[in-house]
Amino acid sequence: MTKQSTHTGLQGPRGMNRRAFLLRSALGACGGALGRPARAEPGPELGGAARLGDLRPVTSRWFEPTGRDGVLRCVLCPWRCELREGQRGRCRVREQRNGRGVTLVYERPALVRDDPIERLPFFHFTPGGRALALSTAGCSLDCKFCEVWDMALTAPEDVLAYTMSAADVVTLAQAAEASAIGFAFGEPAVFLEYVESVAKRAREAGLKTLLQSSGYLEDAPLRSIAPLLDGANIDLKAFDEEFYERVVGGSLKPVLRTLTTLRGLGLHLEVTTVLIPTLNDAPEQVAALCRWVRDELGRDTPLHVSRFYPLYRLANLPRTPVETLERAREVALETGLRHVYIGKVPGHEAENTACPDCGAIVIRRVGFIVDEVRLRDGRCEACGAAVAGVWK
Amino acid sequence: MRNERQKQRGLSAALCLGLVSQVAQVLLLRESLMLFQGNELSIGLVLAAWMAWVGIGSACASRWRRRIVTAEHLLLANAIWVWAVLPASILLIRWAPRWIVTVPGSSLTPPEMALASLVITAPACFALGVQFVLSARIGTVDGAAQGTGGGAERSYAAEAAGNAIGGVLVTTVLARQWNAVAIAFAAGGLLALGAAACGRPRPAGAGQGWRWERSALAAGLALLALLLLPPALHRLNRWSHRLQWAGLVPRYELVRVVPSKHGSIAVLQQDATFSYYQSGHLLFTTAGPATKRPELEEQDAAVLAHLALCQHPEPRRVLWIGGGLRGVVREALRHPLERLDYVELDAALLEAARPLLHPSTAAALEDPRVRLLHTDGRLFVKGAAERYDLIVVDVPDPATAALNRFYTVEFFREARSRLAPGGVLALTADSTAERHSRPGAHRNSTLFHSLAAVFARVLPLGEQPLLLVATDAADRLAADSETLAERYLQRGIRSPAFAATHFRQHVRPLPMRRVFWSLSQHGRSAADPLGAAAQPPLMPPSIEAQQQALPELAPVQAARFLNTDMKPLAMYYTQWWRNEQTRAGRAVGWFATAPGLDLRRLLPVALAAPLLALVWPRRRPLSPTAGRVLPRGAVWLAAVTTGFSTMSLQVALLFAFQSVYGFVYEAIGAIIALFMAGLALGAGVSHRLCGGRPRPWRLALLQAVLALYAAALAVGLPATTGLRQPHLALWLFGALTLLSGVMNGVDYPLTTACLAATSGRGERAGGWLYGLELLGACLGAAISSVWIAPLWGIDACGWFSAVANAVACATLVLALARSRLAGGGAPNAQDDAGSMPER
Repeated sequence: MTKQSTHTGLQGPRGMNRRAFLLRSALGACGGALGRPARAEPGPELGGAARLGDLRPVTSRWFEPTGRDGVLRCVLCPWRCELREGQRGRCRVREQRNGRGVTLVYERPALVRDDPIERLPFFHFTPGGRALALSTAGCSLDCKFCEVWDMALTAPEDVLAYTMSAADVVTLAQAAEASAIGFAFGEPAVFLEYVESVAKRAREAGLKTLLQSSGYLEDAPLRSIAPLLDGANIDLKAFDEEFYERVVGGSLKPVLRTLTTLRGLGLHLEVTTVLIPTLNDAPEQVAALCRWVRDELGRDTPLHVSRFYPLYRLANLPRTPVETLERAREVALETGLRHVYIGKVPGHEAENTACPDCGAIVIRRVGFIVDEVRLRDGRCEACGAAVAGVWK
Repeated sequence: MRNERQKQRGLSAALCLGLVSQVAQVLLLRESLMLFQGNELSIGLVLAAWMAWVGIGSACASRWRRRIVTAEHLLLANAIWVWAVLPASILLIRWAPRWIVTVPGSSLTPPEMALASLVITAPACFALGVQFVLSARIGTVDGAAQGTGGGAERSYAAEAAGNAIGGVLVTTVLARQWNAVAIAFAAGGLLALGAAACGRPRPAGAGQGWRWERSALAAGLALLALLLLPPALHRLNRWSHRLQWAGLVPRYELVRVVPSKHGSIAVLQQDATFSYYQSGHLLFTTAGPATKRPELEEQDAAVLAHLALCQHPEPRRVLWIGGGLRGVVREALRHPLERLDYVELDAALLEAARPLLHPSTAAALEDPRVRLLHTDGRLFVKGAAERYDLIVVDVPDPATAALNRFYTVEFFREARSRLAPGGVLALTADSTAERHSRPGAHRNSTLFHSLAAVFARVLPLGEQPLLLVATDAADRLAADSETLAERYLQRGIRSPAFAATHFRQHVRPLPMRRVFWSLSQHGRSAADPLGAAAQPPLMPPSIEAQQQALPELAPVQAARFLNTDMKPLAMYYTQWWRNEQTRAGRAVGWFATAPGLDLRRLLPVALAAPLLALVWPRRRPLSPTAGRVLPRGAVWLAAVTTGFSTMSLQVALLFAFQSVYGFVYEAIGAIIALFMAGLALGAGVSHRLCGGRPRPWRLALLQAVLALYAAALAVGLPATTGLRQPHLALWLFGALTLLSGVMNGVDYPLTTACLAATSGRGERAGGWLYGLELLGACLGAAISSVWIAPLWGIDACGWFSAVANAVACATLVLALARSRLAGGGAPNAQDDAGSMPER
């Protein structure tokens, strides 16, 4: 039971400040360390206890007047929802209130957990490190295969959420000995104001910041947040406009624009595609996707081809056969991509990172557990070739 | 003599109709279930649509005049229509995925299902409702029985008898031997044949010269049909199956469709993998013979097998219920086991899968340590003499009453009694990463608390899916990956899909502590037990500390968080959760509202119904001669409540029977057939005793008897869960079902006669009451199975029925008493002569 504390930070540095001590006490960390029994009820005095319906509307700068009386336009995502007083956007978390455009999920994360960075997934970013991941309710898309539908595709008043300022997040990340803060598992594009404030604090504290997103963002907000990020993993859900319309409830073009913008800004970039049988697994479609990644983002861009498991609205579609994933990987490698991973098949050799020059395994993984790293200063220990990524 | 022949013709038409209706109902239900991907909520929707259309058809036909054509001609024309539309309905359902399923593999919302159900059932069911009235009309003896509804009563009894025969036929013989299109075609043909036989006999001598030529022609046509039709129907069936699956999951190759008594099994292939669907619902996917790396393909099975087996330090004898075909048996055998008993309910599933399994899986099933058992898992656990170190329940989530039986406190007790000292029980359940879904949290906390009510220690592992392990021993369960890895390595296991490192991936301390906190804390708030799912503090205490603190916590709200045979709450939460996932909108709201419903609020409804029935619609004399009056509303109410309560009691009996006897398909079919037989018997006896005369006091008495019977069931049913002898259970529930059917059957002739006497139109009364009773039955089936039984208990079905019948009885008594006070004549002078029981 005590072994877990080595990476949850329960026996972290003693010289914590008062704020950190209070926060950790509130979160139960001290209770756990001291063997104090669990609390009977998640009482209101528990600072980190999740609560329902505690919305705190905060004015967002990503609204603009439309020129029509009483109508504001949200310019955060490509939907550009036009909202009258009391109306809410498609994302469920942004609305016009008292004549102002507000976000309802500022400092209200519904998911806060520390995870291996590989789980976000980032395979070329400080392997073996840990990230404090957080997300709020809401999403601008409506994927029929959403894994976190009970949080992302839900209104914030229906989801229990914690109340955490940017400073609290950073303190918690430090207490958990995380090296990064990841905006992941939900859709950070809809809580960009929170991302911005946390990322600024994290930078000040020397923590890395990672974004895992659908990339469904307008150009201006994307360019405003990018300088505060160290890496991004964008879901390129398919290379097919019709798939985006029918299965994702969005459009492909803005996602491609996000990817090229981030690449242009020099951000560390990884791409994830969940391969869904019969919907986006056709080899020609995979080949087209890979060609685009190669030409627009570069051959060193890691591509995660992830296995689909039946869930949510697609619960009646079988999981992706491993051979389909392997075939897609072959197609990607043939296209010229250098780092193509198979996701969600723990133990598959395509989870390992190979040196692009000599082919030696430089990082060995089982799922998101890093077993072995044979990199020195970002170079293959066997041949000395540079491997693209952020390794420190 | 002529009247007697006429009666016979009407009866045979109704018998035929009953048989064909039952066959058609089973067929359309099974086919619809495929379209709705096994969502059992759709059964209620299809049945509701069915009854609505039959009721509408019946009510409409009862208003038609005889002017245009004779009933015989209409009967034949309608039967020919049914003959055409029954197979066409099957084809329509199979074609429907192309226009109703927007994204392959995606589920339909309840409104979509309701709309589809209405469309699918309309052509056949409306015609079947019409057919009932026409059969009754033919059976009505000219002149004598007009205005008494006598034809309708006899038809009702004959139709019920046909239902019973049809139910037995289709479940035991037809579904196994024939394909659905052929059965539908044959059933329609039978109806047409029956209708043709009902035609009035020609006058003697007419057309005699043609008799032998016509016979020869008919024989020749029949022979030709026998030779040509079966292959043609077979081809049509196969073609429509391909059409169906191409709509449901395009680009998958349909390998085979295997009929099974538990639902049609379809096997589809993509690459070298095979996916198995039953009743349109995805069961599992396996590696095929050509799969290069079956262990990786079936990795979820490997994870489950090793996680569960390593929870016991030294498992030797293991019982695995369900799920073995997807690779778990192969992986389990890598552990040093002495015996693995694998229970698979559906033998047809194994037969379908056997030639398509990867050799490693097939070899595992042939391993001498493996004992393959085709029986109900619950029944096996109840009766097994063996003791096991580990019992794994690997069945789908408790979305139905049959599946819920593997997640109840009673089952956990039975399983515990089959565990060797220190034995472990493991079960899986779907979950989401952060457990934000309210019904999902309710369901999984209910499973946790139900296990904790039986076992000393319960440990949740993993997040998606959730693995719950439980034991009484303090030193068994391992909540850390190191212990599990050590046990795994000590056993010298080498699996291509699983290494000791995998435990670090699947057993992570902090998420486990959070899951434990969520499951154990939720469901303890007395003020708001079904409030939002409890979310843990960001870093909860260790599992050991949480475990120790459990006794200090507020008690679990047992009424909403203990899943029992008598109150299948987990089933309710699972259905609610699934509807939440399909974005069912308002339906989700109903699921959310019902648990908090204060039953006292229903009292005004219970009081308003009789008041309304007494004043509306206007009263009419009960019989033209007696001068006594009876509001028709009181009779209508009696019909609705009888339909409601008998169906509600039927649901209660089936739920209770399943939990005691185990899910045995033929037995359930026999129980339903018994109900229909009782219905026929009751209707026949009632008709004979009443002779079509109105007996309002007797009707009131019957309602009182039904109320008492329902109350007695409500009191007695909980005691049946203690039954240990399956055969005794079969006899007991069979007898109770027969009795329910008899009482339901007795009611119809009584209500028809009363209503016919007030209206003077027997067939119209018969048709109208038939529709009303179906409406009540439909309400009873839907409300009892979806809401009453899971939320207030199976015994509550009895209480609801008792109240409904008591209200109907009180209404009748009040109406009759009022009539007497108003000077409406002597009670037994004519209307109710002989209506009181013989003394």
